[in-house]
Amino acid sequence: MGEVDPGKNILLSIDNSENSRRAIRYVANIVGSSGDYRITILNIIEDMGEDFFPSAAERQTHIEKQKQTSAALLAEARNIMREHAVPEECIMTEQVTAPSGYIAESIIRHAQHGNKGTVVVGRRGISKKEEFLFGSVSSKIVNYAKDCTVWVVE
Amino acid sequence: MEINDKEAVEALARQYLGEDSSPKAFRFVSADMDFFAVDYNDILALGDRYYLIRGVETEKRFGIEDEPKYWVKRVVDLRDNYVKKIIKFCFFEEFASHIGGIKFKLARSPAKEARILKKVERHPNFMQGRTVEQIRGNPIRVLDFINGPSLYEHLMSLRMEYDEYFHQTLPSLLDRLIVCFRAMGWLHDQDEVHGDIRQDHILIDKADGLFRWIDFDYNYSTKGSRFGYDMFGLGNILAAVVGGGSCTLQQLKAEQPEVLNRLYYEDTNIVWSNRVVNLKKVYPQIPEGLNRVLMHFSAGATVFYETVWELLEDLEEARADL
Repeated sequence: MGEVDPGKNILLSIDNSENSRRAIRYVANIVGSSGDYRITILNIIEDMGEDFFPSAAERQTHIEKQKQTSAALLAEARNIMREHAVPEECIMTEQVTAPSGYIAESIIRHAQHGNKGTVVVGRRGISKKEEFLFGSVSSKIVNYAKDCTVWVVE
Repeated sequence: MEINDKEAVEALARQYLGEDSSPKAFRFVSADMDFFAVDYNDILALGDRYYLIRGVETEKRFGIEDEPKYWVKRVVDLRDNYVKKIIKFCFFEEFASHIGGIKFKLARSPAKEARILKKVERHPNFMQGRTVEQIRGNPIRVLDFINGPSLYEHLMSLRMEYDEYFHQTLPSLLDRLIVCFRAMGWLHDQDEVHGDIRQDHILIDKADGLFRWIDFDYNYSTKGSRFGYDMFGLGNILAAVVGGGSCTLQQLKAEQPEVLNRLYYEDTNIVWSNRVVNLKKVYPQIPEGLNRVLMHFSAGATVFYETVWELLEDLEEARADL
C-alpha cells in the first residue's frame, strides 16, 4: 500500500467497552470500502505493576490473560471492519502494554511515531469527580495530542 | 554489648519496666509464631535483636473509636538503649474500595512499601525503616518511631479563635506543609504514589518539627491520571490546615448557621460535598490567592492541578502574600 494522507492514517484505540465498540463502528462507517484509509486498531494492555499481585508468577499469569483478551478484542474489531466492507489491506492491529495511569500518553506516543493524522477513542462519560480523581483517557488525549485530529465517540 | 543469654535480656526488660511493672516471667517469641498474637510485654527475637512489645498501633478513624492494628507493634529495642521502634508484619491485600460513589481497586503492597523505603532512605520527610526477615513470604519491617502527633491530632488539639490561628499559627504550619508537599512532588517524580494521603498520615516530629509522611504501602488503580487520587488527598490536607481543621456543613449548622446561607454546591469539596472548600466565605481574612488554590479542589472547579508542582507554584505565591 502506498503513502497515505496523514488525515486518513487513523489510530483507533479500543478497549473492552460498549462505547469503544461504537467508536469502531463509527470509523468503519466513515471509512467504508474506499480503500484510501489506513486504520491501526490499537489495544493497550494495562500493566498494573507488581503492587497489585502477591507474586511475580500471578502478575505474569494476569498479563498473559490480558494478552488473550486483547487478541480477542482486536479480532472482534477487525470483524466489524470487515462487516462494513473495509478492505483487509487497510486494517492493522496492534497490542501494546502501558503502565497504569499512562494509557493516554501511550496512545499519543503511538500517534506521533506512526504519523497518524487522526486519533479515535470512545468515551464513557464519567463524572467530574471521577475525572478529577482518576483522570479521563479521552480528555487527556484531546488536551495533549498535537498535530492531529482527535475524534471522541460517545 | 553481646546479648545471647535469656536472663540478660530479661534483666534489660526489667530494668526498663521497673521491677513492680515487670511480669513474673517474660514470654519469648519469634516472628514466625502467630505475629498477630504477639502481645504486650512479650520479648520478640528478630534477627540479632530483642524487642519488648509495648502495644499495638491503632488505625485512627475520625470521630470513631480507634481500631487496633494487630500486625503493627510498638516496641523498644532492648539492645539499643530502649530506642522506640515500630515492627510491622507486612502482607499483600487487594480489595475494592469506593470514594464518592466511585469504585476502584486498592492494594496493600509489601513490595511497594519496600521499594519506597529504599528510595526515601535518609529523606527527612518520610518515615524510615528496613526489612529484617521474611516469614512465610511476608516481610517483617522495623520502622523508626516518630515521636509526635499526627497533623490531624495537632489541628484537633488547637484551642483558639480562628483569627488568632490565622495570624499566629497558620504561617508556620503552611511553611512546613509546603516542604512536606515538595517531598511528595519528589516522590511523584520517582514515579511513585503515596496511595493514602490523609491528615493522619503526616506525623509532626517533636524533635525538629518536621512533617513526615508515613504509611505509603497502598496503591490504587487508575487509567487516566497517575497522581489524581494523591492530589485529592493533598487538597484535603491543605483545606484542613488553612481552616484550622476540616470545615463541614454540619459544623457550620451547629456553630455558624448564618454562613450556610452564603454557601453553594460549588463551594464544597469535589468529592465530599459536606466539606467546605471555599473557606474565604467562612473566614474572610483568608487572602484571595490562597482561597483560589483551595478552589481547585471544589465542586465548581473547571481546572485541576495535575502535579504537585503546579499546586506548589500557586501555594508558594499565596504563602508569600500572607
